[in-house]
Amino acid sequence: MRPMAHLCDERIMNNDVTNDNRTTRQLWRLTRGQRWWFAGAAFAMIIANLCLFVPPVLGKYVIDMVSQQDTAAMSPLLIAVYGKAGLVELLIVAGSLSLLMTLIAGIFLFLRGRFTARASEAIAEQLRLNLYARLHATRASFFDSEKTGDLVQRCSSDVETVRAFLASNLVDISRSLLLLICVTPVLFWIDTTLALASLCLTPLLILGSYLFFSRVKVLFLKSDEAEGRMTACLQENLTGIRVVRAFNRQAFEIDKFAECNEDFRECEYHMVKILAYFWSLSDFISFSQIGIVLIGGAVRVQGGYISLGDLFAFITYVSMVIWPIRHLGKVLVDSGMSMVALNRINHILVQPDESSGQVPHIARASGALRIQHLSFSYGLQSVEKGLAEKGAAEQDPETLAENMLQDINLDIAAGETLAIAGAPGSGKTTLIALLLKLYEYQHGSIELDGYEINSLDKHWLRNQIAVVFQEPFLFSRSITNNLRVGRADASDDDMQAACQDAALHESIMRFSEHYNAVIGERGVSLSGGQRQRLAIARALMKDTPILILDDALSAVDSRTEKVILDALQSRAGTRTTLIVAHRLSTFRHADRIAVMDAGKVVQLGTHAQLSNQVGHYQRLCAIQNELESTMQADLDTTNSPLITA
Amino acid sequence: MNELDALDEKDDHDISNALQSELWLQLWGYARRYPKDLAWLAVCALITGAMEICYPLITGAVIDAVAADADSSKLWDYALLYALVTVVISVSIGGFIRIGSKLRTRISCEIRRDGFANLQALSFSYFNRRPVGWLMARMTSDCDRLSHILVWGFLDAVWGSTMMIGIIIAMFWLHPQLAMVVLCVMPLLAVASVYFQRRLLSSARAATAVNSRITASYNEAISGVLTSKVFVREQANLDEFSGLTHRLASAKIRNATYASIYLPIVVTLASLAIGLTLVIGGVEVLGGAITVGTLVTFMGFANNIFEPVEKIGERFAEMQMAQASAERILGLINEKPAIVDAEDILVDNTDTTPIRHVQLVDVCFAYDNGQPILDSINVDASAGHTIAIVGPTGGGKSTLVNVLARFYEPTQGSVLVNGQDYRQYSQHWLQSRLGVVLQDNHIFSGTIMSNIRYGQLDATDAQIIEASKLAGAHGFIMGFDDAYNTQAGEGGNRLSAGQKQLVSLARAIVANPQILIMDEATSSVDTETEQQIQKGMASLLKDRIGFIIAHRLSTIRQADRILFVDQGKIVEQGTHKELMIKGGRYRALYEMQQLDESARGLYV
Repeated sequence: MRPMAHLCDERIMNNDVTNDNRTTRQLWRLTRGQRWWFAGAAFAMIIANLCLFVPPVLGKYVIDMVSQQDTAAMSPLLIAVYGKAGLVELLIVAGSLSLLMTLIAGIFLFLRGRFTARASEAIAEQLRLNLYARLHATRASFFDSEKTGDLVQRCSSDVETVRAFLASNLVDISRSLLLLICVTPVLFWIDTTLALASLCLTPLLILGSYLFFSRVKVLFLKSDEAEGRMTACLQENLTGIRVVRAFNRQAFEIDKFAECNEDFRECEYHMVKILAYFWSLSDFISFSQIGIVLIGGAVRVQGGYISLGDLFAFITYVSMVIWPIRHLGKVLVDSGMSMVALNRINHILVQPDESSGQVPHIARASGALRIQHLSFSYGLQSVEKGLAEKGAAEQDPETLAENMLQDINLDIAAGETLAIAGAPGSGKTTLIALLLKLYEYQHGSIELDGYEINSLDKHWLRNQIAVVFQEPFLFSRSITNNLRVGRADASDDDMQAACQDAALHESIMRFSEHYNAVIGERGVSLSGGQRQRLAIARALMKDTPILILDDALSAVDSRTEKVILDALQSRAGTRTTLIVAHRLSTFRHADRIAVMDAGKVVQLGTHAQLSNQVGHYQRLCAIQNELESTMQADLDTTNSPLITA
Repeated sequence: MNELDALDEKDDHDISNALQSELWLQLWGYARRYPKDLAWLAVCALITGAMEICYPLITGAVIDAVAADADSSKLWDYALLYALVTVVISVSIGGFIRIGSKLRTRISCEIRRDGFANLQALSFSYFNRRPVGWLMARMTSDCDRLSHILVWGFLDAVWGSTMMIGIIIAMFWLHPQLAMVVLCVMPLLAVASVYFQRRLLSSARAATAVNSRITASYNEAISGVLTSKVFVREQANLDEFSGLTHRLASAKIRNATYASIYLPIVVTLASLAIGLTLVIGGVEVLGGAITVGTLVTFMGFANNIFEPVEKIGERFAEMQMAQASAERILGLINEKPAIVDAEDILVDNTDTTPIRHVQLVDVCFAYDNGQPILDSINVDASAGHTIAIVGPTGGGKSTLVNVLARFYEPTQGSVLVNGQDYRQYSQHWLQSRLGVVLQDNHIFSGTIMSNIRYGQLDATDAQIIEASKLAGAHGFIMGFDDAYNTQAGEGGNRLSAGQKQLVSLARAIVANPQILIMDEATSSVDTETEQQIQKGMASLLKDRIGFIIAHRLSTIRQADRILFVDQGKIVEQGTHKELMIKGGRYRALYEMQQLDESARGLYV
């Protein structure tokens, strides 16, 4: 964990006072439901500290008593309770009383620890759950501009920083203050002059330590950033280790890492070096403070102003107070950082929900899609927001961001199979994302069964569509559990049927644990083709009126592709199917083909129509035809009897 | 149960009381590289411990001085002494923090360096079994933890024993009976310390384990957010996650509870010792056997002696608990790469002979678990030859090219390069002559330019642009506002899947390889772009050896030789024409496309 890495965020560094106030209020709201526990902890802490004040007082009386060899020096209170007892008897009473007080203090210390842990953990748990839920509920576009590592950091170490503030920093601060508040009157009651002397260095220590840690925060930041760079370097290397090996770049990578590694070491060492000065100096001040009390007190005893026991009490009390105070500066700075952490957490928590709408009256759509004048740009959402903030909304936002999709018009009948062709970056995947309402389109409309999908409930809509993404994401669980993502209550037969249709069943049966095989992080233990086919099977588990395959067969050989496409067709019924593909064999399976280029549908029609139209598709067919005629020629010249497929 | 659990499961059951000395000796080896720093650290620890003993003695002496009504000059001597001790202890504390931190950061840096270097040498099979997150944790938190224990453990051992021995000697010198009284509480504390520190650390570990699951969970939630959305899994995921957070909260509360029990116990035990000293010492003072000052000194000692016991107990428990970390990180450093250069390599890296010929002779390959992947593969290729590999998925095509590139070594048989077994070359020699486009092409964050330059670090911009043109990537790159300086994003996520393939192809081309291996390099690219690439490739491969795995027959049929691989065997091989005449599985594959096409033709 890197508790301070969040400070790297510049936006957060510039938080102003109003922001701080808001954060404080939010912190207060967070404690709702746990406030009694905090109150209980505070109460237990006060009791414990009061009890801990007693033993030094007892020590003082004992020392006065034994040094003056007189019971009269013993506390009048003790004498009142026990009557006139012998010296030894009083000694035993004092000893046991001091033990008893510590024991009581111990019990309350325990309660304090338990109560604060309960309260702070409950709050942290709630925060984590809120974050997790928010990450699922917010718009997909949010993730375009965020780094996964950074988001994870906000959810883990920033929450931890806030928790630590609630659990220990808050307690530390109040304990130090409580100690000071309780001890000061006692000291002044015993001897004013010595009391002043015993506290003379305390403000210096608090102020100095606070100023120091505020300054050293910059070094903490630097060191954390260096660590972040090192971790990122490591992560990237390990993720791409196969590429590193393939290009024989080990030496290059080792040098690169060595640089980050050394840089982090130096930053950290530089920081700790400064810290060493601080601890050394603050120890000097603290010991000196005790020294002043010792020598000053001795002079006061010689002058007859205080007794030996008073001196003893003074030394003990000052030692009790000085060490926690030395830590106060660090604690105060840490607490300041928890405000920063809270702001970083808020960055996620304030993200708006995805828009959603009404659940229509039909349980299952027929699958008819009508896309009209659809235009979309990834940058537009943020551009529009930025313009609105600057009050320059009259500017045409379209001029500012390149359109990913431009004026798309498609009418897809229920049960139709539409193939989409196009070069990399032509907008195929974007179109699919819009159909799934993962992004909100700005112009035009998409209707499903006559319902504008912007007005539809997002869950209802997504339950009508099964999709296989181009780079499918698999969960690091068993094959069964991955399939159950498609449908939670799927039976074994359903799963087997889906895997058979996806031409995956045989491969699965070759694993030693069959359907229970765990497929590792993102499915690493599967081949590229197996991953795609598992994603297809998962989509098939979901029996929906619309099926979308986004280049989902690219890593599958043509034979398997045919098996899958045939199975899909026999399964289809009235299913509307959208297939992004590159192979002509796939296109021939489709009722119609849409060719996309630079965000536009440039051609639309059946295979027969398009192959007679000058354009992309014809060129594609020409390439294929050329191949086909050579293939046919090959078959003819080699003249082998046809093998029935 | 996920893979991480399985990997860590061993550790959880493996906490033994016995410290494994060879493990710690190897780690100690890292510290021993700095004998001077270690010596200074020991000196600082010794001085700090000794000075801390002085404080109760001075306090006692001052009290005796005033009790005896001594003149003030003696008091000022003590003041001077106190000041001196304070200066010395402050300097030595600053010193040990500085030296210790220097050592700690150095050691951690070196362990990391060694681990990283070895990770670069380990073979693909090692990474197949270990998720990135698991390796990251070893290289970051485990590293820091061990260097921390090594240095501060050493410091506390010296400081603690100095202080304990010093206090015991001082106490016996002052008053043996009273010393015995204080000492009799010590074993209690030692037992309590070890007991509770172990409990504390193991509950902390339980919390850490759940915590890393939570981090992994967030990670998966963010990476797979689109999948969760389209499968409407939001609620189901949240339910699973809430189970985890609840476990974390309980684990942490348990840990905090142990901590809140432990602290009062230590305080109470200290108070017992002080109480006993107060009573027995008080009686002795009354009897005139000791002075009040000595009594105060004793109470100071009774308070101070617990600190080292506590600290040493803590370090001991820490070491016990960190043993698993030590094993893991040393395991990572000591792991022998499955593929190492032979000591008597015949051809050194400076040899500039190009690869003109490769031959696979009876190559078999099986994974560690004995599962056979390749069986008696024989391939022969000379410069200018392109070999295409076809066959069903999972048949061993990728493994074959991985063996060829020596990412795996054959378990039987051999690969001959220019007539010599490739184990007689260094890996560097061979692999720097390869250009590989893997099925899982990883794009690094950074510009497109720097990604392509990864193929050849000293490539000029012109060379990079030329390679991009050959790979069919130039067009879309120029379409970006920043052209070649466009940021590719984390893992290349600002590019589409097809664009990533084209960039990795350009990266392989710029390496100017003698053998070019393409494992489904253009599967996500449209036919027209692919056609363009093919034309470029034909001229590129003219005097190189090419191995191409593809599904599109157009790519395949132009190859000089085609291998049909299924279930680890070459079922058929020959030129396109030969295989067509043969009328086997290749032809069946071919005909299937043709049949499909003619059937459609009728329909149209």
